[in-house]
Amino acid sequence: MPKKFEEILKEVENDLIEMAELCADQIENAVKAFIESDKELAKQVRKRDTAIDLMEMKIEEKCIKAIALYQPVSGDLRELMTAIKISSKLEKVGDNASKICRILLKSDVEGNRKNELLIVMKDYLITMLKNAMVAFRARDESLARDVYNMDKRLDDLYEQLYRSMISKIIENPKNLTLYTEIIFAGKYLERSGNIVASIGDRIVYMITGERIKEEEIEEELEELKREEKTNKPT
Amino acid sequence: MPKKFNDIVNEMDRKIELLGEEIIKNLNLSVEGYCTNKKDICNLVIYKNNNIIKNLESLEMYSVKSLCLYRPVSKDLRKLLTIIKLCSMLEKIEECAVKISFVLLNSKFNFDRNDKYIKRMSSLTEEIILLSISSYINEDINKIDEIYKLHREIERIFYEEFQRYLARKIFEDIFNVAIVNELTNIGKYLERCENSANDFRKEIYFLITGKKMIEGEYAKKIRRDP
Repeated sequence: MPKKFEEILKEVENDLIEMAELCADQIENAVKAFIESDKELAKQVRKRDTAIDLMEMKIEEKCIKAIALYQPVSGDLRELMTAIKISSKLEKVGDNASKICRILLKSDVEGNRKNELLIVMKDYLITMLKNAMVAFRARDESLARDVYNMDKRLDDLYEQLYRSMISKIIENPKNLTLYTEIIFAGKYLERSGNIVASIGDRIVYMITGERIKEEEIEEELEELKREEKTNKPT
Repeated sequence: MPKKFNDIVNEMDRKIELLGEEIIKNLNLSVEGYCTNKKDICNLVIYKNNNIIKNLESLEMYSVKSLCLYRPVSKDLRKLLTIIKLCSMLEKIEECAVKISFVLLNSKFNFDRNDKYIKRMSSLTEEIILLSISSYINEDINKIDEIYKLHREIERIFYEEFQRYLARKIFEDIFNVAIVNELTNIGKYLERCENSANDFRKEIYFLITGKKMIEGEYAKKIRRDP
């Protein structure tokens, strides 16, 4: 007997949550491998990335089949489209975890990669990811908006990390490669934050049919208009 | 009379092509504004962004509506799903173009920003976006390898040459820290645009073959068969 449409939606939802958990694990392990210079763990993270790629395919396939078979409209269709988008965004987060490991595996530099800011960024990113999934499951618009806004804090943390590494490079130019590696690892966490924020945007769209991005653009234009008025000679 | 599905798809392809051109123009304009220190150009980028995002969203909506109306299957279904995904990727590129403008608009410093590396990276980014769009429009699977090779080349320039160049700049003069900070951000956004263009590859492969591309296996294949 063919499955009910609701059952498929539930399955897709569970798969997405499982995929997000896997991504969170990958980020956790990638940063652990990086700061502890544990190349074995880094290799494992790289291998496990294929599992995330396969999950993305599985989710996408389910969604495509559901669209083709059940021809959903309105909210149901939005939900499936959002699931497709979220799965490809999660796959990108997994890629970034794998790229952090690639930095370590390619490196021939010995040294202490432990960095507090990197750990804070990692924890913050995992919280964003978990909140995004809670918002998705509970259809919580306000939490999804929070996830979107949390990205700014992650940008600030990256900025701090960047500045502290530059100061260290100036103090100790011999360790330039090591500090650059830490900057890159931070950059991948920051980029992942940006991706998770866009998941927040997509969840808001799924619930309301409106994008946060549109509101932001309107605000930016208003700001520009205000500035123009202030700068106009009287 | 309702339009034929093929006409709808052709219309959407034309829109992708036009929007791609618009986005490349806006990206170039943003880099130009930054390199020439012209804030009015950066403001123009933000004005244009409004229109581009609205057009991308309406294209995405059009694809979703066509899904409901025409109920396509097989390759036709893949085509619409690919368009929906490409809209997100183009949106990412446009977002980065705007962020480049904001680097100048929010900067408190005044210095010569005419940087040869940024211009080089910007032109390579333009090249990969154009290649990706044309590969999609012509459904040319052979171009996928070209996109990947160009992507690897840009990555090498970004991770090796550009980083060495920035490090040299700091060692030459400690007061270069502010400009290095800005250039890192610009480089980061250009690399992100390049990354999104590279992502087209997987979607084009899926559209043409109906199979999903596994990145690790694909990279191995390219290394084996350069």
